[in-house]
Amino acid sequence: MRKSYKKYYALFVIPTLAAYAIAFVIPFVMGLGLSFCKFKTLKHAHFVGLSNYIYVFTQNSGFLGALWFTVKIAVVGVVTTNLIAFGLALLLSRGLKGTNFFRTIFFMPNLIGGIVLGYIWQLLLNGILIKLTGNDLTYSATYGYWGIILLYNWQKIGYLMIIYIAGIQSISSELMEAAKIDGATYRQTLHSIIIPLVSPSITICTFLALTDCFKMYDQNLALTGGAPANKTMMLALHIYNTYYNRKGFSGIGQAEGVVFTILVLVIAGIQLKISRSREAKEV
Amino acid sequence: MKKKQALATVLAVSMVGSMLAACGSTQSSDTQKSEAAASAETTAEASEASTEAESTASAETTEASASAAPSDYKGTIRWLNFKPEVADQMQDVAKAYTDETGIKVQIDTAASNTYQQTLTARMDSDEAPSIFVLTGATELAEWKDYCRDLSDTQLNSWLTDSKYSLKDDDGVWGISYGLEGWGIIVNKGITDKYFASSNKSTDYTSLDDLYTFDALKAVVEDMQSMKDELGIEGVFGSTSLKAGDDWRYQTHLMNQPLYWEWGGNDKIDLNGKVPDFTFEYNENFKNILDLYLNNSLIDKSLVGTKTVDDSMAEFALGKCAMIQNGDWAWNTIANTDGKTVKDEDVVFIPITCGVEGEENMGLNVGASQYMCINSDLPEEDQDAAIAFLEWLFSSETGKKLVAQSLQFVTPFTTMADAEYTNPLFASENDIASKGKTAYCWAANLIPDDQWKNDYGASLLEYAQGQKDWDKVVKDAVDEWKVEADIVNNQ
Repeated sequence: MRKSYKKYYALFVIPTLAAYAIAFVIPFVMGLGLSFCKFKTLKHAHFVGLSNYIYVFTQNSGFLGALWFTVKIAVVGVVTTNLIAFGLALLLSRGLKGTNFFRTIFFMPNLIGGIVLGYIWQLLLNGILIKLTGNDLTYSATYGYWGIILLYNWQKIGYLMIIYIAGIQSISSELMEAAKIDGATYRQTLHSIIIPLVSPSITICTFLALTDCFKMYDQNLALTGGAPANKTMMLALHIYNTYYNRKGFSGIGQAEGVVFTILVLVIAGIQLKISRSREAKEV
Repeated sequence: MKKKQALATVLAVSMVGSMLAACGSTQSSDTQKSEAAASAETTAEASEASTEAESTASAETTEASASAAPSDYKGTIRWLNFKPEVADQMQDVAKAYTDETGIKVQIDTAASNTYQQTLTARMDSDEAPSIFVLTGATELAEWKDYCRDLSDTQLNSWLTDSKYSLKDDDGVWGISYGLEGWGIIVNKGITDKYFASSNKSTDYTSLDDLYTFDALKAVVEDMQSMKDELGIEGVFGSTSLKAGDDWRYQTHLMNQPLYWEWGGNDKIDLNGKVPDFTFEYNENFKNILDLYLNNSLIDKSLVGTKTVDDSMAEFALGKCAMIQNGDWAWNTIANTDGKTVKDEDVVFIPITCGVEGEENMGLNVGASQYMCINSDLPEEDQDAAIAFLEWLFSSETGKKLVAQSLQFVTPFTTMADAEYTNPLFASENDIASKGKTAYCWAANLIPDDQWKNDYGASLLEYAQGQKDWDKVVKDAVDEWKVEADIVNNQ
């Protein structure tokens, strides 16, 4: 049997590997190179050294604004999605009636694309806001901010919930039973057994939510498009606009993209390290 | 065991096949399409995949049906179309040429407001367009490496005026295929009703009186107060200031103040550098914008949700009497479900904003889209593309398609006898024949999209009452300096 696995190894790995190389590795390396060039199309790129990066850090005020807005979204977005998802997971892993039905329902928003969601939520939120305040989403950056948070929660909670449910279900029933026999209250069980034992899931979920928030583009584009006056513009959208809105700025947009990648890598790395170390201590 | 293995192989192959087919249907590149067709195992699957890819990519290659082809050119002419509103009509043009000559023509259309992005991506592909479109001198600076010099072509010699080409000291790099005019589009049925009404409180009696801002303002405000009698919800359609739909104001309406500030048709060099800008006529811009906002069918706090299409639909359905837009809007109006406005009632009046001398001015008319030939392609591809364009603007079939299907008003002498069906063209001619001077497209000299988008966002904040007009002006002027520097020094 093992032999036949080996025989088919290449058949299954090569297509994926090729797709990964074509769609990710090669463009990434090319992109890295282009961030040191002034270019319009790939055929006519001129090397300009570090000047793109110098511009990004010295003259491009919008970049920092977008970064700050993204950080604000990420902090609140990561906390809310994970708390709510974990709460739902607890609720839906207690064998209540209709559990599967509710799990499906909560998971479904995740299957809809971000652009579609963005436009649907724009209609919904505008409808409510106009009724209540007489203004729409474009009126204030606060509206846009909470709109994005709401949309992101609605979309992501179901996905994280499934991961948490899997984590909770993998806790051995003997442990839970032992805790019950020892007279632990639900609160104590939650605190001393469930949370420590699902901490691998917590690591995954916070990682997913964090990187997701930083990379968010389509939801942002469809829901607010940066309105009012670029105040709700997140990093990814800002990079896109830099790339296309000004003549000859492709290289600078590219450099922003590289800075962005490094930033996400560093932040995600730190987050992984912290939550991993907690895992090791508590289990 | 053998059977099982065979089954597994079939499964694996079909998985790979369907993966590639799925690829082809979501990406708008034709390489994917042929890949999908080549690697999918069964022919049925292959043909399914390629038809699917074709329909989603909005690209259609019309195959040679006639066997007698007068030309031995075997390649494909590719036109990256700028105007989504004629995407379907362009396919008819391609088909007509293929039927006549056997040469394949492929039309791809970039989605609204994404032309530069699409062009950048396509230029790097194996199927780079042979004909592409630039909108002005600032774009030429970026794309000159790709433009063929067209000075010696027939197209260039057919131009009624050399100002309709994109050129510099070295040569002619692009040729306009359509003059576009814009102003305020009026539903004459409604204004006639107003002029005939005994309840009106102005002395004006026809649209011909509305060539000054004072007259326009008086009539519009009076009409707004009589909207129930006139059967409309407001005089102007929604001022669409939603991001991405604000070009009627951040670009087109800016033509008025820019034109006056830079000294008119004789002084503005549309092929030159971006001039300085002080927004000298900002009060005039505010005049006309306020008129739109205050006499509209929606409250001005809601303009951030409205799109151009919303506005066109309101006009077509007779809910409003006026909108600012250009002759290209006719297709949208004509194809609106439940349209109530009559074709012959759709006419233009000029945009006025209270500047001395504006009573002698007509519409904004100019060339804003220039056809360029991709000089990066082999010589024979370039020649075939030029031959196609010459056919389009000089043969009987071509001319009819241009005038009635594409509805381009071209600047070519060969098209002088063409017959148009768009009522707005008739109205343009009518205004010109009254001796009114057309404003040139000064707005083509706005530095870049960054300025336009930020200015549009600024206008929205002004409409919502969140930004003072002085601040709008100051931001526009300050940012102009930055952007003009970038464009002029690249």
